[in-house]
Amino acid sequence: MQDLIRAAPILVVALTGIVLLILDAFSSETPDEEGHFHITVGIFGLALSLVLCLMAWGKPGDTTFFAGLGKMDKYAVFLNITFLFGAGLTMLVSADYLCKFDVEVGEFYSLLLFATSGMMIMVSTTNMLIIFLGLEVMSLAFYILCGYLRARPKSIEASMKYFLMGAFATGIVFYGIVLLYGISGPIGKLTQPLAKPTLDVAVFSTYVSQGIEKAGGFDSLPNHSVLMLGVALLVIGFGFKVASVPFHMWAPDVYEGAPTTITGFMATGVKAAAFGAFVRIFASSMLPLKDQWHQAIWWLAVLSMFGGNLIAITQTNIKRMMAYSSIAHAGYMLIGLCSLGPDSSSAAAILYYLVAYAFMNLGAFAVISFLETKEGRGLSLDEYSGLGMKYPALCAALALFMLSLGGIPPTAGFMGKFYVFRAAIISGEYTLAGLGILSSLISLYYYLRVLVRAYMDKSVAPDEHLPVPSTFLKVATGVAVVGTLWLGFGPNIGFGVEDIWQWAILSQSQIMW
Amino acid sequence: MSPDRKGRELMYTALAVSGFTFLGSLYFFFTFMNSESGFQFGLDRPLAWIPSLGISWQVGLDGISILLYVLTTLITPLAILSADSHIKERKNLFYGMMLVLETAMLGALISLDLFMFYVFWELMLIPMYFIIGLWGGPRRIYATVKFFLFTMAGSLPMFLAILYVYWKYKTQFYPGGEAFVLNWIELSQLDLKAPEQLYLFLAFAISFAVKVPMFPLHTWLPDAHVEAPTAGSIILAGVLLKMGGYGFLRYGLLLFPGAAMAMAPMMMTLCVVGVIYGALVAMVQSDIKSLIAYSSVSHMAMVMLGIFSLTTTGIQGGIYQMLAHGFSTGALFLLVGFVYDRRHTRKITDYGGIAKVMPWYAAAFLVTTFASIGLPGTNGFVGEFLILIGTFQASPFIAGGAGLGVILGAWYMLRMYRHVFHGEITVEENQGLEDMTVYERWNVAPFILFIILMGVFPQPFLKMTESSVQKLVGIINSERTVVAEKNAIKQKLVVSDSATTASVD
Repeated sequence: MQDLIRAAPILVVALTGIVLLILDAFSSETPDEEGHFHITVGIFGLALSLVLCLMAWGKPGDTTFFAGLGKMDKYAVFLNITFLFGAGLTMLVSADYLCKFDVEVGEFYSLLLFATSGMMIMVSTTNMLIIFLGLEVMSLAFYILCGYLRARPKSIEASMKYFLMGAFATGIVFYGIVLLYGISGPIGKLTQPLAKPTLDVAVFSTYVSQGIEKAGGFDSLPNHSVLMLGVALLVIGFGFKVASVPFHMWAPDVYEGAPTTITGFMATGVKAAAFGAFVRIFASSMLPLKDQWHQAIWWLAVLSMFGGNLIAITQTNIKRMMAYSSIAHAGYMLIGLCSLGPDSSSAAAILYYLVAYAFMNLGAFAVISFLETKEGRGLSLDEYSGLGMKYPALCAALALFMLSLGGIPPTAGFMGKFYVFRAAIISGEYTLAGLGILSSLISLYYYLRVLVRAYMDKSVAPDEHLPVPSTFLKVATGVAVVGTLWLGFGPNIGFGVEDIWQWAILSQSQIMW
Repeated sequence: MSPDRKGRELMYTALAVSGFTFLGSLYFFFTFMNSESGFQFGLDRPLAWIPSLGISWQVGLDGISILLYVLTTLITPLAILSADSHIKERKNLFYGMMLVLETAMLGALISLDLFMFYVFWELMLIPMYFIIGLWGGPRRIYATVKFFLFTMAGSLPMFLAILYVYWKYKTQFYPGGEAFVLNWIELSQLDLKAPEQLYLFLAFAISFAVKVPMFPLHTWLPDAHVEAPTAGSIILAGVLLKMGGYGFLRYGLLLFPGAAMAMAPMMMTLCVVGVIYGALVAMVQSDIKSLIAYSSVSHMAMVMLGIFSLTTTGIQGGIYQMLAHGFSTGALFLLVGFVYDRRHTRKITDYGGIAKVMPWYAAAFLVTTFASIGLPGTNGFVGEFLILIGTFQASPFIAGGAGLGVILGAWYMLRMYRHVFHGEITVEENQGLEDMTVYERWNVAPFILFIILMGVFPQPFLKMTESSVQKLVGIINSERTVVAEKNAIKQKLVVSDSATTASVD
């Protein structure tokens, strides 16, 4: 029973997805009403899960469930809440989007919920196999969601590409996990004669740190090359999932082809989940091996920041631009990963960045999805000319999100960068921090270009019939605006920047020791 | 309600808000205690904002900021008043942006917390970006993006330096603890090594130098000024540029006195190059606004010269000149805006002899021109004179160069005045030019009033800055003695070393 209570947030989300599937079979309403019905049920499930998450937050003592395979610690809860918000915003925005393109609702929202539950599984565990399981659940749902606009060749292409690339990436992660599992036994036996091979990151961490101490250095460990290979494969596999250069090739095409709202969720949710697992593995079990992977992550971070930001400048399609921007943001978060250390707060910085990024990026995609009109229309930057006049409120929100993505105070993006760069400075990563600053300057150019187009170009496109945003979309954008501002300068009155930061610190304390 | 009428109401609302702010600032102005060198009007206890990082809402005014504070609250309503004639579309956004801009500028001036200062410092950018980009001239997008990128490129190194200073403070005073402080008064207690100080100073300096703007980082300014609408130019020249000078005084010199001292000769050289270069480029401009923009480069370099003379007189002169420049250049941009509204050109050659048809206008322009070139009796004279005295104490050679810049300044300003106002009316359209309306006269009157007032009675204003500046110079001088002592010890070591070697021989 305790197990079920601890796993409840995840189960509720997955069950809501199943309920929606069943309801879909009996539904006879018009597509529009059906969508609204699905969203209502879905939001209800997410809200219930949120409540359960908040209840799990305060519980002291043991947080493991299902024989230690799952772990609903504060770190997991923190990220789960981020996913729930992301999924909720995506649902609200999708209503308009699906209606506009006459896509039948069908399994859309169920798949969204399954993907969310996959993300939650991914971070609510310390077992590497379960992390893999969550990764697969999440990815499979997204393979389908990417190709949901069946009539569009680009959507199919995105789905196919994502599937092939994703399959490779998960394969690589899996192989890495297998290698680590295999090597954990011999390393554990160095210090504890009764040690068994393990998949648990915490146990693995003790084995490795004690083993290194006993053997007197990494190079004297038996079979250290296998260990090295396992770590390398994990870095590569997660590098794929977070879309960091040079493993980013799939991202622009997939982001462009997928339904816009799903793109937004992919850029925030998938990234957050991948980083959640990435940080959990690397902050605990891989910390003794930091000398080994530090260089690789360092280069991933630098290449992602510069590659993403420089290529984004040349894009004319806003979805592709946002794809490259998301690659660059992965780079900033990798700075945090690079600065991991026993006394740094960089894991908390990544968590803060993920929350901030979720709000601003989902907000931006909400507006973008609304402005998309027909097959591929309304997505090129030229078509943003003069939109500031047509939709003053929505474009003001878009402007805020763009400034936040560029890291201008007083917005969430700035605070996120503040924490990440602060962690880098504390760990002595001056060069990395300097390069990060430089690349975020480059990024301002293309974020500003959106504002220039929307506000300063007078060449307004011929006046068409203007669609009106639905209440759902307005609510979603409003929540994103409030989140972006509040995470940027919320004062210390109970729920401000300070509190969220403290929660992030508390979450971090559960994965590092 | 017609759109135009509605715009008026928006303007009056913005005017009322900024006017009340001005009245409020007058309270500070009149109750300011001149003898006090520390901060006044602060909160009893800082309000915690992000306590775990030591970020708090801590405010105060001292002799360095009080005058700039009042300048800001005064110039903003005047700029808003001037906007009515040329801001025709999206007025709500415009006046909103003006008020956000004022908030950011005042916030930067009163913040005593480095983090808060940075937030306000960056916040200044966004409204100005929109003001130039939305209501500017034909090349406004180029100008505004350039402005934004230049300023951001400057302030990002400062961001890193703030993080570094802040981490340094933690390790020095609270090792292992969580008590971080970003309050610069406490940060100035930091003990930094010389190269560390130098890099940090440079990181801060580049941000302020872009804003001032100092040669060779000035290239965004002429573009921004020429393209900005009149109201934007007034704020930009009148207040925004002063933030750079303020930043140097408040953070550059106080946090890193050693590095500031070491860099002073180089900075002064750059300044004197800026003074002369700005003047020479201004001389060949055909566009009045661009001429005034380059004259701003020259005058702000003069201000920086005063600051980096590191003498009480020079720094006081620098602050005074910032005010003087705010009024005179603000007025010049305003006046140019008046004729631009009528003729839609700013070319010097399109005018000539218009003193005949616009006598009031010519008179007002003459007074501001005199203030700009620093004629005795105007506020420009007091500032430039003090700066030159201060600079002379530091380096007579550089003071000579700056003097040359002043002469060149008189040359190009008066030449421009002659071409525009004197002689016969050469262009037919100018025959029917209307003189300043009552509205416009009232708009420019406060500028003229302060130009004369501050030129004739400088003492009250100088008194306000005196004790704070003396304290600042005291800190720098004590650093100077420390460095001198260290050098003396080094000398002794070298001497004794050579003595021992000699005895061995």
